[in-house]
Amino acid sequence: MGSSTAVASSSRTPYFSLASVPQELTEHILKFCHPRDFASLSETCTTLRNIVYNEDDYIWRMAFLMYPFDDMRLSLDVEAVGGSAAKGSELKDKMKTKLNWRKELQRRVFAEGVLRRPSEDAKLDGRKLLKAIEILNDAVDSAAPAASSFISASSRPDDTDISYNLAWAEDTLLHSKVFEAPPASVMEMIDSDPIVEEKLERLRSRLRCYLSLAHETGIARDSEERLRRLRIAARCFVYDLGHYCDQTRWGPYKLLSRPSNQVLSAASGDGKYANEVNKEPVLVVNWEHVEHVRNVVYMNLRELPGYWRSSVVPTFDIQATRPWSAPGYLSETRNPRDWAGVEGVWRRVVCFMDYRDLFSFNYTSMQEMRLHPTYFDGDFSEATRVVEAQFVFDEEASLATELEEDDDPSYPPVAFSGLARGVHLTRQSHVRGTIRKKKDYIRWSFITTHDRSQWAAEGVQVGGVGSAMGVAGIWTVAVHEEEGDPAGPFWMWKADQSLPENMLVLHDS
Amino acid sequence: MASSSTSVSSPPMPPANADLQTTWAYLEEGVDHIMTKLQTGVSYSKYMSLYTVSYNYCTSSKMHSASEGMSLGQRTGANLMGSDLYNNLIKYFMQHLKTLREGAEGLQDEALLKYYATEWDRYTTGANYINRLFTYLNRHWVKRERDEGRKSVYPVYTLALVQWKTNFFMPIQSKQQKLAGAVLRLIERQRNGETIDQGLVKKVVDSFVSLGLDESDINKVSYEIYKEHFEQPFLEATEKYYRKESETFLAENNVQDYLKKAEERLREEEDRVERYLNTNTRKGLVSKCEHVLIREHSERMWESFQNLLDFDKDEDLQRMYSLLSRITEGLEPLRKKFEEHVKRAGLAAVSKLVSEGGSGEGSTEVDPKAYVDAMLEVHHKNSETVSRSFRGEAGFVASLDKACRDFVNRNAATGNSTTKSPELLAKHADVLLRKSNKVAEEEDLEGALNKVMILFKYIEDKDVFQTFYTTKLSKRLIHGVSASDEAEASMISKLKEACGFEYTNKLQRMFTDMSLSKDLTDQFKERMQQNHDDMDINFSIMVLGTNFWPLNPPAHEFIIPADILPVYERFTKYYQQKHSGRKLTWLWNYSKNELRTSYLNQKYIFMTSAYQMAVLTQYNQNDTLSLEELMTATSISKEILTQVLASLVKAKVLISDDKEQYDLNPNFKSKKIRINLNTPLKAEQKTEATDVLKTVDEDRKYALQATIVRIMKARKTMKNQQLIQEVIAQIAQRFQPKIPDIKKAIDHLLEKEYIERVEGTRETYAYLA
Amino acid sequence: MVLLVTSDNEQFVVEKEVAERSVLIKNMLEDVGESDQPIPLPNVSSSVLKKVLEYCEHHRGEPLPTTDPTDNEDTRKRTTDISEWDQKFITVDQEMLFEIILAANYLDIKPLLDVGCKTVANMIKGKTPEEIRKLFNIVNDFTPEEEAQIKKENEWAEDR
Repeated sequence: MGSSTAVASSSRTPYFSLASVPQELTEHILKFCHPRDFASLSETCTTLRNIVYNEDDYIWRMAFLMYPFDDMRLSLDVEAVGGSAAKGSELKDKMKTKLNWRKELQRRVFAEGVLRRPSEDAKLDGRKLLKAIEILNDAVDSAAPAASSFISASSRPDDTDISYNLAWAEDTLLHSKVFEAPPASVMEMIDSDPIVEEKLERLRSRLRCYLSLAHETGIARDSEERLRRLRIAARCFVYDLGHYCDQTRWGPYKLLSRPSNQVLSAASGDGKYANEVNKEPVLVVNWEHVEHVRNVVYMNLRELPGYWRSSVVPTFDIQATRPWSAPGYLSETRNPRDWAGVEGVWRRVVCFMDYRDLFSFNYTSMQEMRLHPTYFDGDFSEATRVVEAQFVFDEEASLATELEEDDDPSYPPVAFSGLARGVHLTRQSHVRGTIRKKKDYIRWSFITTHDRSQWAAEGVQVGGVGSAMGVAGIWTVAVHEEEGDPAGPFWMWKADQSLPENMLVLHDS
Repeated sequence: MASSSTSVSSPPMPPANADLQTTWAYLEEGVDHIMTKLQTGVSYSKYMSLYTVSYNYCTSSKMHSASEGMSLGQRTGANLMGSDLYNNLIKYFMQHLKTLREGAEGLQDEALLKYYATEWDRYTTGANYINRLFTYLNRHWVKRERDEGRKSVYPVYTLALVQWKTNFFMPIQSKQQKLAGAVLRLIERQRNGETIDQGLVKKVVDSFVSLGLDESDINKVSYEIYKEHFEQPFLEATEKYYRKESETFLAENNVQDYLKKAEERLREEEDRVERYLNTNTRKGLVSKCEHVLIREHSERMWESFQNLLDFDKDEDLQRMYSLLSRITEGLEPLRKKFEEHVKRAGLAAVSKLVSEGGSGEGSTEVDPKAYVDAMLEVHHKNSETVSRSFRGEAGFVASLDKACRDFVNRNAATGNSTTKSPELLAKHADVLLRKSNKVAEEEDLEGALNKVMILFKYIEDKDVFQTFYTTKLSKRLIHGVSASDEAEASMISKLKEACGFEYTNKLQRMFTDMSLSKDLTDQFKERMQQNHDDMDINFSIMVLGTNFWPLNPPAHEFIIPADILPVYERFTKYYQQKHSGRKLTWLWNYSKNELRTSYLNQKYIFMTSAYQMAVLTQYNQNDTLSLEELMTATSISKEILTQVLASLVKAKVLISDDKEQYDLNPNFKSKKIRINLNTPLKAEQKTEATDVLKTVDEDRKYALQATIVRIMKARKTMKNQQLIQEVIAQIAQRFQPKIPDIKKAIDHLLEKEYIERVEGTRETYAYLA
Repeated sequence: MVLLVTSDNEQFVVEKEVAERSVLIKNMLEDVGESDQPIPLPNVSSSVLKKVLEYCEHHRGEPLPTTDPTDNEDTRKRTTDISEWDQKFITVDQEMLFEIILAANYLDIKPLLDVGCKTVANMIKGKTPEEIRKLFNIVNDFTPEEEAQIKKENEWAEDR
């Protein structure tokens, strides 16, 4: 063993060192290093540089998986295959080769760096902040699908089956100064243009939506105060009838004068293109709106009597946004064409203000009191109803439903029908609707017919395909005449079984 | 070097930086030793030096590169050197397997299998060893290659299997399936009853499983080799074997013997899987056997089913059931035949009864008990068959139910009327629940009532039964002839369980009225004792809710005899005080009395109806009265009065020669002191059944209308056909509605403007709120 | 008891249970069977083996990690935590540290290998390239152009 090189080496240099052990050992050492250390190592010498940056992604994949993040190959299952296996495997293989572990890991390390930096720094670069938030959103969107469905809306069969992406996003956000801060103070922190600000707000809201207030116990004084303020803001927004009109589908959407994903590229030159899109406004999900919907419903649910709340209201956290996590989604009995997992029992919570209250909040003749937050001071409370629905996937109608231009073709529209039974009503209403997968959201729209009255609902899925968190949105009347038609928030999630009969009766108020 | 003798001839261990040629020369010698002469042993030092040499080679280039300054993007360490060793291993395995292949040439059947099994054992043991010696190669180079998606690189042991498959197994197998064929011939010999070396078969078959490989996940077993090279030909051979055997057997034996044979063969094949096949084969093998042994002969089995039923061949029936239940649709023909069988038996039993009993007059009136018992016996016998031979299988239960429903509702005794059976059953229940019934023991009575319920389940017109039962119950109650309150309550709760609260609501109310009446009588008596000590009449009253009791007031006036008038008035007053606003209707036609005689030497007590009493009290003032006079005095209609008088004449209390004049018989004599004069009037008895049916008809009309309204209210608009179907579905539990009746009800509702025809359509109705 | 012989011909008599912390030795004893032959370890010197045996002695009886070579990755989650005893144990000069890592690699003692590698990783953590070079005696062999190019490649890590 003692070869001539060992004898020749000076006493200054140990025979074996970081750059001179077998490569597999250097790589093993790198597995325990933070990716940020990779950069420093690569700058020391050629040997180490070649281990860090070379033609294969091996150590980056290792570092990515051990960070830990979800295996990107698993996330492809959702992307490639409209919820059903087999047909997508070829596509999947193709996509696998395109996976860039190194780039993705670098992006996430970058985002974490931006978001977790201490606040006393100088002004943030708005673009950088937006980029970081976008990366976070991407990580959330590429969460690996659940390997085991939730047993009920809030309990998992296997606590270790979590998405690392989501856990990371949650942790990063909760340690970030820009996550909770009200828009105005974020805007003060950064230095940017309105387009960046708009998108930043929207994506921030989306992430807060996904976190679902799980971190707010409401017990500590400061948490209680935060929730109180959130609730007033949410009610002001949700019950402001100015948000509901044909242009926004009477739902949680808004019109943008330019597609927001063009913002950066449009700003970085190619002004002609930007001008062109300027003419054609785009409808995007108003995540701020969705967040307020969720907050109103969620806080009303928190006030239900304890015995009732514990058995009906799920304690959702960000893991409930995982694709395929809804109860029964992974069951073999699910029709693979029903990629939304609509068939089964749903629990829908609907909140509404008495129409006279709603009207006076919106249209009081005292100009300065219109839409005034003080309206919700004190012990204001709106009605909260739990509706139990039983939906059936309507295969025939689904096939007959045409693909819209912006629908994802690998997820053909899902049509469904069913019965809903309100807690305070013994009569049943009939439900019909469709679910469409768009590029960056899943749209639920349905009509509820009850005797001769008809109600419409527009919602978006909170989370990926078949997420346990379900759908949040807006109900209104089905036929609109003018602004001022009643509207209110709803939230709906998949349940594992029907509510016991007595629960339905007990909550009758 | 260690002292072990086995290493004497070994070459010296090469240095750490030896080149590939030197390294492999050393390693190959060791590998070959392990693969061919492992039984002679390996020393620790040999083992360690083989491991160390392969380890050094895998890690060597790094050390060179560090000292010699090789660099730039070159993959080093085990990452590069691994492929050298790996490729040499492949070469070695190929060479080694060529030798084995040569050894197999010329071998056939058992000899071939024995050679194969022995070499397989030796080879896999050696490969396991080698796998561990090259652990470092596996841990780094192989793992990395696979991680990078090169799925044709395997850990060393798997590599050895892959090589065995391509260089030994496939070449032999490709010659007319030499291996699998040998196995199949052995199995056939066993089926023929010979003893074979099962261990040998198992070893060879297991090796087929081990050779299966899932390229993408080598920890998963793939059965592809086993399936293609063994399972498929095995299943084909099985099919052929049993097709021939079963055909030959059936040509010489009867079906009963065949059933036994098939059962035995099926069990045998399942055992075979257990003993030496892979469990995954069970499903295919069993379904193949089921097809050949059962499906292909199912016709024969179905044909002989009736015969087995006729002769109560319980065991054979059971065997046939369990065999046919293994194939889809295998039982359906049996269920049909069984249903017909039961129906025939039921109809025959009733026909026999009718022909025996109805011989006298033309009337086909059968004895309710005999009727019920005959049907129950058929049910009992066949339900035993269902649970014993068909394991209570739901399809057979349904057949039994269907058949029973058929013969219970329509048979020789009922003719075309579906109301006869419910009537007879209700009458039977009435007899059971009367005091006069001999079934004294509580338990027996309970059992008899349970049996009533068995047939009740099959009755289509449950409303007819309900009406008859109500009438009978009311009689039992007002005449005080019910055997026991407990038995009555038990029967009602059974009916309630079967048909719901609504069905028995009235019945329960009748009991409530009875107990309220008892209290009322007591309270009234107490009050009278306080106020009027002159009461010499013993009085008891039943106040019965008009809506709950199937009783009609008399159709004619009735002059209340002066003797009871004070009591009548006192009670009326008392009752009005207690419940002002309630209307009392006196049912004289159901009332009864006891009269003490004072005009004869001997004192008698006459038990009479109210009408008889009214007539007799007239003779307190007169000894002779004309029919005319009696009519005026009592206001009873002539038709009934003549019957009342006839009953008194018959009992010799009155005397009449010409039916115009009636004298009190002063010489009346009787052996008994208490004499019951109260025999039912003929007219009453006769009309009972027709009255009941009239009530049923009325009830049905209302039920249909109410159901239609309820449906329309919920659905708002509905097509004619839909509506009719819905009505039938909802009401079938009570009776089988006739479509013309439903149409009539719809017309009626249209007329009354509960619903309307939707304009422009003929067939659609809308609900009018 | 087994008899281990090092590269410099020193003999160590060790309890079987302790020696079997090395998966290499454990596998060999399983395959070859037990005997009183000495077990030569041509890649390990006595000074290093002494240190390694100290580790094995301390950790005797603990469950061994799975040895399936295709088993995909260690427990997910990067952690550089080292237990207190191991920390003390691995406080050695750098030459010995790398010798231990190599010996653990050769003898297939995964927990020890991890302790060694984690220690090195902790040494690297948060250091600048220059600090790392100094620490491990690495010679900067880049041309200025190469150095500039690498700096650019590493921009992603700068923002924090």
